[in-house]
Amino acid sequence: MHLEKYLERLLPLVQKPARYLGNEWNAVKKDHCTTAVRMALAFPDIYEVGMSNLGLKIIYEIVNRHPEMLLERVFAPATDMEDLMRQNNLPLFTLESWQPVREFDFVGFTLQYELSYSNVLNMLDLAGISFYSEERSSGEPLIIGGGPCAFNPEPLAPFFDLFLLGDGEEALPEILEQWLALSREGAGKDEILASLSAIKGVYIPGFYRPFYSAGGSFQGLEKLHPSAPGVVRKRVLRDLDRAYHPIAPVVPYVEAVHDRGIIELFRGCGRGCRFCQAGVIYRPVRRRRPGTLKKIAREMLRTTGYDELSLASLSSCDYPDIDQLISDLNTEHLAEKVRFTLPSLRLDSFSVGLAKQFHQGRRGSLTFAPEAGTERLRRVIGKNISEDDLFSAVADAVSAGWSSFKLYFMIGLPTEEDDDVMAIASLCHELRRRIKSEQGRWIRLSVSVATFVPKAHTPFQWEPQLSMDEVRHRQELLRTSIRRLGGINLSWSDPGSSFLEAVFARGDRRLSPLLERAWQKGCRFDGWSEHFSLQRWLDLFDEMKINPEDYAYRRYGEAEPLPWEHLGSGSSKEMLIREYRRARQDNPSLEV
Amino acid sequence: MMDRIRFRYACGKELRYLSHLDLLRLFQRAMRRARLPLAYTLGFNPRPKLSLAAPLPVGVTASKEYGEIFLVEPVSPASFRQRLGEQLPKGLTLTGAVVVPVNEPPLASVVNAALYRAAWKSSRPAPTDTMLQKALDKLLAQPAIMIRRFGKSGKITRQNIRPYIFSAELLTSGEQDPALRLLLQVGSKGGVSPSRFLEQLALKGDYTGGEHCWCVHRQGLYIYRECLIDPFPEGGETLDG
Repeated sequence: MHLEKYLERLLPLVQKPARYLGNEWNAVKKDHCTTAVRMALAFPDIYEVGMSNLGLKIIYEIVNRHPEMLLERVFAPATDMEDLMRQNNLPLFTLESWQPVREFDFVGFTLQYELSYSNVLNMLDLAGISFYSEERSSGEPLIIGGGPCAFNPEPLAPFFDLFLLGDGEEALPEILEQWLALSREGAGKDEILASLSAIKGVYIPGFYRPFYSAGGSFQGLEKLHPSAPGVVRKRVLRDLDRAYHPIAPVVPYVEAVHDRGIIELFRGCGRGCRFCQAGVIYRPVRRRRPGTLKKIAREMLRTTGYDELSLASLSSCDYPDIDQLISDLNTEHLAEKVRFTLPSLRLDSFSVGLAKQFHQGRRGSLTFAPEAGTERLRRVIGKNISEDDLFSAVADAVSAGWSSFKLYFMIGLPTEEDDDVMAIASLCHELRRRIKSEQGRWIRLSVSVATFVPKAHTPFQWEPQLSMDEVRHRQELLRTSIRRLGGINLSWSDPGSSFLEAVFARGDRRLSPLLERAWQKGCRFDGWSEHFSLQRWLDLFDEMKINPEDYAYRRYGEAEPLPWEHLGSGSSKEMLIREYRRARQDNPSLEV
Repeated sequence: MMDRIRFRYACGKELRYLSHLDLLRLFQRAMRRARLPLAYTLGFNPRPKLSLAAPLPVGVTASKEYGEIFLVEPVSPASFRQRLGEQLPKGLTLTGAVVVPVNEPPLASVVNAALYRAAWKSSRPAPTDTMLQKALDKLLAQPAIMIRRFGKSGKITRQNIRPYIFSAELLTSGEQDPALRLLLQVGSKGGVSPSRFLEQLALKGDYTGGEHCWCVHRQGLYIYRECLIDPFPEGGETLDG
């Protein structure tokens, strides 16, 4: 199918047509006729968001360096492009070759956040691919999913043929290779899936069927296939230092949300914050050696021409000798004026030394995440930092020349009371006042407040989410206290989207028909405030006779079977329960 | 000691959808990959001293565009062209490079005219030469052509674009689809894009089809005083590709 003729006509009519060109620097264009396995990597959000994702960059190079495989990107088209595609019967296409997605052997969705699920269905529909796995013929691509949401993908289960849990570097090429061998022998879809289920990390949702009590509670899963493991264990890449790291990522023409190179210092996080899903699913901590990182930086700068490299991980300040690493990188790349940045900073491991390393390339503000306003509540959530940590980190940064700071907090945390929320305001105020009295200058503070969402596989997976009304009340409380004190810029997340996120984060397969209905009703880009409509979702829950509060607001029982328990994150239920109970006793969480 | 290189490039259809900022970023990164000894601005956020003569409207291809870059060490124009050329994506071609005095005013401040060729390219029936000529005459006879511009904050302002139209003429085509030759003002003292011109022209014509029915190519950028002056100095070392 030749889409070029159509696209030439449509591209002049859309916003930012360069999103759809696919001819960026370092884009890999392989010959479709001579490549045995073809995969489309689908990111269910717009180009600028997807192009900032590290996982996508890793998978892109890992697959494309294999001579028998090709992987091309596709993002959710913006709504103006979608309208034109539908009017002109233009199917969803990959960027590199402008080939229809449905002609690929695999379509891999990266599942980063629950609010992108409606986009997954919309992209399948635009591609002309049947939604349900059991309805897809062997002529249609295998639909696979990975990323953090694959650890509870149950609301998406019937739409996918396979999920991959954990690290994809080794597992994805194994899946593609095995598929190739089997399809050359003429194996059917069932046979292929059965064989793939033996690969560690692979979850075939069609091999399990949930059952529910008469009262409607989830009771467990029944295995439908002899080769389905009772618990699917996540895939763990043992040696990150020797694993392939992307060195020639695609350099976007359109400005990406994070328009810079990314170097992954380590995977996993040694902290044990009880709300954090990433902290559990990316365990254990695996580091790259400084020498490896410097070599990657050198090569990436040469292949991309970036002037900024982000030293990424879940907690980059915890990298041993991070000061030394940044200092070495700064020295080596001094003449090229490269900035090395850290995505977010840990209050208790931030130092004057580190603050100074950023000095020459600073811009904007420094970001810290205290998460809660009182030390008591920070102990409950396992974020064990003190007020002194915050004051001294900011003071250090101010003495190194910084004047603008961003602080992340959460509202609705377990055991939180109004006082904890108002403490956010007084903490910020006190911080500004102390810096002014000690260092003689007012700092600029931006405070960003998210709503707590209980996530599967965390010690807080049993906790109820705070009701939307109560969240609004506490947000108002905070707004009033902050406004009264002045000098602080406050932003907050929409309680409605956090509610929907909570429903899907602990969702089960009964939400799948709802998701399909939501797509029919026009839901897409639910993570974007300009497209999200809470009322539309509430109407859908009514229509489908599903009580969303059962998912979001309920305290789950410790003995209750959970819809994601057949998916192994690596942390035992006993450990999670222990942490869950400890949180209520204000004990600091045990560090791993 | 600083060095200043003026370069000329063509932008093909592969990259015609890039915005001005996209193109600036592209050149910056290509120059960094080429390891050119770039001179940077001072301050906390050093940037290469790179400028492009005049923003190319999105969707328009071009054959003679210009840019300038400051270097901290001399690089011969031939070497500059080779090293940068290797780092440019398909769709961008360097067609010349020349050393210019450091103290000359920036190109962006002197280039004030752009020559376009607009050719009808649409499934809609093309207007006849007579229809177009009539529309041109009607449009250009107006002492003022007022258009609305949408500002960043949603504010609408009205603007007269008549002074920015130096000339607009029909290229007699015979049997082919019609084409226009437009010389329009660009730059800091105001200007009009070919799409706004074509939109206004359609309003005066007895045909349907605004700016999206035309395929526009920018043939050159000039310093327009009494005559059109090419921004590449006479006798400078240029390497035509």
